[in-house]
Amino acid sequence: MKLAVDYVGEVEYTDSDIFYFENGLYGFEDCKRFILVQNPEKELPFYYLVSLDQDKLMFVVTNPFLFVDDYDFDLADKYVGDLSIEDSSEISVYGMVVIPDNPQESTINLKAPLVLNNEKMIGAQCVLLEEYHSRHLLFESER
Amino acid sequence: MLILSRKDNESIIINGNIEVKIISSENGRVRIGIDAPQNVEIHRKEVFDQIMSENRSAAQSAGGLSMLKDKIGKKNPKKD
Repeated sequence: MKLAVDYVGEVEYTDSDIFYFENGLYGFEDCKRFILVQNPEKELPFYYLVSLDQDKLMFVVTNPFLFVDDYDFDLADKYVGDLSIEDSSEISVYGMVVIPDNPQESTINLKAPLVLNNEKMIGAQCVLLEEYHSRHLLFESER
Repeated sequence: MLILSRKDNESIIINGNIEVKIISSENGRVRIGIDAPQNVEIHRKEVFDQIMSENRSAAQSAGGLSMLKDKIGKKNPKKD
């Protein structure tokens, strides 16, 4: 199947590329099917999470472990069940990125990361009990 | 919105399987106990609202990615 994705161009994908989010995302509960698309600036470690259910809906996400020291959390049993996780090797963690007009102030949501099960192609946005920020500065050392 | 009055130690049952109990109340601050099945998510509303708001902002960020090019050059992301 093909999809025209803003800022990327035409993307080809198959059913096996689709992540299913049973509960969607907070504020986007009806958007359940997503694909992860590499951004065209390959040296930037960012991806687009593109909705297949709502036209033009896409999120910038990145691997939080690249930017944050000591990011560590316990995934609540509820999420382990929802995501059918049998082994931690099955999962990837992404954080939603917000890029404001001043890119220096870009932030990542560490409080509610996206957890993807790459074996079962299921995803969920998981609210952590740990005291992380939903707006953690990506570039804090530059001030 | 359904509004009820409860005294300390009194409860409300939602959906037949969620219990909300008033533990204590003092100076406008109420301690609430919640007993719910494991698959029910419970969060303070502010947390929920903030995550929704951040998601909405992230949905509007796609166009800004190219602005990050020189930022990444200065701070090398750690490789695992």
